[in-house]
Parts: sequence; structure tokens; C-alpha cells
Amino acid sequence: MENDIWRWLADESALQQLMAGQSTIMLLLIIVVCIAMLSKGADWMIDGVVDLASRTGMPKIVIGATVVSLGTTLPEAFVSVMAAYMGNPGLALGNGVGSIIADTGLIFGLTCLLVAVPVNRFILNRTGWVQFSSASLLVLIAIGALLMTPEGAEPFLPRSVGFFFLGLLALYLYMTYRWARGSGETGNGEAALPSEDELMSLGRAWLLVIGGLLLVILGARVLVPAASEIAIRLSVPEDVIAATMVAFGTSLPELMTAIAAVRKGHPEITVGNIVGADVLNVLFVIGAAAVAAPLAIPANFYYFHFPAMLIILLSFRIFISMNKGVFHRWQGVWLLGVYLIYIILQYALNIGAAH
Amino acid sequence: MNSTSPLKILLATDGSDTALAATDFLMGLPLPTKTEATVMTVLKSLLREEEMAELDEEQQELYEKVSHETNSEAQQLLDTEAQRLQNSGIHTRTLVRSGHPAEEILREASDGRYDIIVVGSHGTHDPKRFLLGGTSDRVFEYAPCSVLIVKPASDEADSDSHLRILLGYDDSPPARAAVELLAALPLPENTRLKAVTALPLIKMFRQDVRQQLNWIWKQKQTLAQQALERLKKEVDWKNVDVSTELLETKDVASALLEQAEAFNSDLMVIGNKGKTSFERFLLGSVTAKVTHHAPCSVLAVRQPETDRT
Repeated sequence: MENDIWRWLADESALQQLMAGQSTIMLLLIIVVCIAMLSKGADWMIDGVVDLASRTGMPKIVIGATVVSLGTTLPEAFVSVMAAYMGNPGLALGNGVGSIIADTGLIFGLTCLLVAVPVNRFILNRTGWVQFSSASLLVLIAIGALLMTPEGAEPFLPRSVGFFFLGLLALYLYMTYRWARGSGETGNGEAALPSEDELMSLGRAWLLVIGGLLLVILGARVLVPAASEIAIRLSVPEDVIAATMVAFGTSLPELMTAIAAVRKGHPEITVGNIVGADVLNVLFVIGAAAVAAPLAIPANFYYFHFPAMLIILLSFRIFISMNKGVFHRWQGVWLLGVYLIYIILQYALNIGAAH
Repeated sequence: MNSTSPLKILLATDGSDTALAATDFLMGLPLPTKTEATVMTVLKSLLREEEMAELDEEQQELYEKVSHETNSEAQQLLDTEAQRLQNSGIHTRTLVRSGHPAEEILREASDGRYDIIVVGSHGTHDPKRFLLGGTSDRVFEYAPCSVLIVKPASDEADSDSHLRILLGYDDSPPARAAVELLAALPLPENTRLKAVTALPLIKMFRQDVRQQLNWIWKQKQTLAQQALERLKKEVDWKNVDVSTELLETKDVASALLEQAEAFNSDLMVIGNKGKTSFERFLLGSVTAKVTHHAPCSVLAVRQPETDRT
């Protein structure tokens, strides 16, 4: 039995065969378990890494701008990298783009619907442009790839674009750190994180990092073929499953923190999280996936996924400029509505099935 | 309650130890001279109406005899408890109802426009009596006014003669109503009041790091500190020894409970926002958690109806 598990994990075709042998209910169950593993694994990893980073005396503001900010996007990144690596580019790209739509439409829309989310126009104007620009950059590069691709061949994002995005990611993280420092409103941000008694034991911290990493890798590894098999069963393209089911699942950390923020009366952190997650979904998730393997861009991205992403991001961008003080409830309704239409249309019209 | 009208208290009892302790606790509380109390008990109907109709004459006679006995036992209990309150200077009347305990208590509370309902934290399981487990929870959840849930004092609690009150304060309207209510009580000299504000951190995915870096967090800290200062300086506490503390914690209810334990408090006072069922499901209720797990009695204060807009 133990040997079988290792064989399934190490050998892709064995893993795919294993998934093909499961009932649809069992596949959905496997997907749910994988999503839970991704989420819990990311939580452990962040907890451990923050603790280790604090020991080095790294300022809180740096930890906030790097580890914590990247942390909630880990599930997306691992799933997309794994999907690209295992030869499912539709899954990799669909997950990245779908997560942007899920974060902004579903999670932020829902938050706006429930509570008044404060807007700091000064800060959001700046990060909001980065958010919109990074997604637009992805679309522009994709259109460029389409124009340069000979007739009959499928356009793709080459590895160089992946490296370029990762370079931008480093720049973005550095800039968020600079901005946080410059805003001067960050409290004791320069201080190293916690006092002695707030730190866990060194062993525990490492255990969380390694255990979390294993959970995330395992979750992503099994999720990819399970999602791919579900797509075959429902006879929809992989990217539809990626943009709906998988994107929802990998956005679970953002959803959970948004719910906690509403419950505890601090919805302001959700705005920053969503904007950050959107940027990272392009630069980090799609960037790293393209580095793992060149990402083919299925045709339906051009007429469906990219436009949907731009509509939702443009709406969000306009809301930031419009609002004085808080986001309005109708704006939440709009974002949520666009998200739901996006999800329903994919199944109703069977987008890209002819592809 | 305002300064001119008397404080109206509804004490629900079932003769259980905790219910008797509730009377004791009330007697020990410094209450305004004009306080009016109603001691009430609810008898559960032994039979449903359609079951009554099926009884033959002999059974009916027996039933009435049992009912009569139960009634007079209940009246006796109420008279004893009322007398105890009268002795400590509270104007008291008694009331027997029959039906569903929580429903009847809530109906009386709303019809009689009481300020505070007082109940023991859990009641007896004697089917003839009321306050089955859960009644105090239900009363707390749906009460139109403030609720005092009394936990019997442990033996060591009397080691310090000063009254020690822990106030969970978040500067919300119900929290301010709680302060108003407390300040209106003739608290004895050397009463110790500790007001604690706990700002909730989100530890999940270590969002607390970003939360504390956010400009709004700093603002919230300052506002909370200012509110505590105002509470200390602007309220006429007379001789009460008031201290304050601002905490940052991932679990507000647990932090308040720990504070109450450490402060060795006799009474916890918190504002009750009275959420709808959906909001409670979504948002959870700090008040409910505190009430369930408190090491001492808890007064959950609701903003008076007339003040709510």
C-alpha cells in the first residue's frame, strides 16, 4: 500500500490512471481534501516562516510585505506550477485568471455587500493601478503572442515572460515595502516582530514550514489530475474547471481571511489583500507557472476569461476613484453579479468546448 | 432606566441552587433605593389540552390536585424569595405563570418593560419546575432588555470584601449603556472596576502582521485608548477605583474571560449588541461566549429600546 502511494505520487501516468478509476463523487471529495490541504499547508508555512523571519530581527514591515503577502497566494502558485509542470497549461492559466476573478468578484464583492469597507484613496489609487496594470500587461503579452503565432498554431507564454513576471514580482514586493515605509502610518512597523514569549520553539517553527510545504505540494500534486479528470467527465475544457472550481478552492485563504476580517470588524485588510492577491496571481502564479513550462493560451481566454477579468478589475478600479470613504453595497452586488455570470456562463454556454 | 424612573428587575426562579444563588447575588448588589423587583416562576403544563379532554373524572380530580399542590409549592417558593428581597429593602411582587419557561419570561420582560432579567446560569431538571437547561441561554439570546446571569459563588470568592467588576468595553452604544447603568448604581466605596478593550487580531495566515501595519489599525488603537480615558475621567464614578487596559488579541471573548479570572472578578459586565440569528451565525457573538464560560456572574447590557435609533 505504502509503495503504491509513492508510485502514484512519483509517476504521473499512475496518478492519472488512479483518478480515472474513481467515481465522480470520489473525485470531488479528493478535490475538497486537496483544497483543505493547500489551505492548511499555506497557513502552517506562513506561521512558521513568520516566526523564523522574526528571529532574524527582520522588521515587521518587511515580513508583512513579503512572507505574509505571498502566503495566501501559495495555493494558487503551487497548483499552477504543478499544472504547468504536469503538462496542463489550461489549468495553470485558468487557475491564475480565475483566482483574480474569484478574489475580486466573489470575495471582495461579498465583503462589500456585508459591511462598509473603508477606502484610503491615496494608498489604493497607487496599488490599484498596479493591480489593473499587471492584469492588462498579461493580456497585452497574450495578444502579442497571438499576433506572432503562425496560423493554426496555439499562442503561448514563453519561459522568458515567466522570468520577466518574476522580476516584476521582486520589484513589486520591494515597492510595497517602500510604500509601507513611506506612508508613515504603519505604527511600529520598523520594530522586529514579537517578544520572546510570543515566539514558538525553533523546532516547531521548522516543523510547520516543512509540514506546511509537504501539505501544499501534495495537495497541488493530487488536485491537478483530479481536476483534469473532472473536466473530462463533465466534458468541459480544463480551464473551465480551473477558473471555477480550482480557482475557488485556491482562493480559500483569501475567503477565510475576508470572513475573519468581517467577523472581527476589520474589513480594511481585505481590500489590501485582494489588490495584493490580484497582482500576485499574475506576477507570481502565472509567472512561476510559465517558468515551469511555457503556457499555451487556449482560444477561449481571448474572448472569455481575459475580458471577464478586465471587466471586473476595471469596475474595481473605477469604484476606487469614485468612492469617498467607503465602498458601497451596490458595488458589491455588481462585482458579485459579474462573478456569478462568469461562472454560470462557462457551464451554460460550454465556453471553449469546440476548441 | 433613567434617573427618575425606578430600576425594574425581573427575577426568574425555579428553586434550584443556582436560582437561589441569583436571589442571594441580587441581595448583595448595590441597587438604587427605588428598585422594584418581580419574582416569577413558570410552571410547565403537565398535560396538553387535548390530553386533558381525554381524562376521566377520577384522573381529572387527581390532575387538579397535583396542579394545585404544584401551584401552592410555587407560590410558597416565590413568597420566600420575595421576602428575602423585601428584607434587603427591595420592593417586590410575585408572579406565577404556566407554559414554556423561556417564552413566559421573555413575554413578561417585554410586557412589563423591565430593565434587567435575572436568571441562574442553569436550572434544575425537575420536570415539574422550570428553567430546564437552556432556558437561561434562550432568555439571554432573545431578551428585550439587559440580562444578569448568576453563577453561584465559589467558596474562595469571598476572600476579598471589595466588589470587583470587569467591564468589557468597546465604546459601542450597548457598551456605553453598560457604563451608564453601572455609574447609576450606588457602588460601595472601594469597588474595583477594570475596563478592558480587546482589539481583535486575525491570526489566520498571519494576517495580524499586515493588520497591525495598516493605517486604520493605528487609528483604531488611538480611538480605543481615548475611549478608555474618557470612560475613566468623564464618568462620575464617585469612590470607585477604576483601571483600564487595552489588549490586542486573536480571541476577544477568551481574552476577556482570562482578564476576569485574573482580576478575580465577582461580576462581568458587557454590552450586548443583540444580533439577528443570521448575524450571529456569521459574526459570532463575543457576549454569548463570555456568558457561557464566565468564571463569575455576567451582566449583558442592552441599550434601552428608546435610545435605539
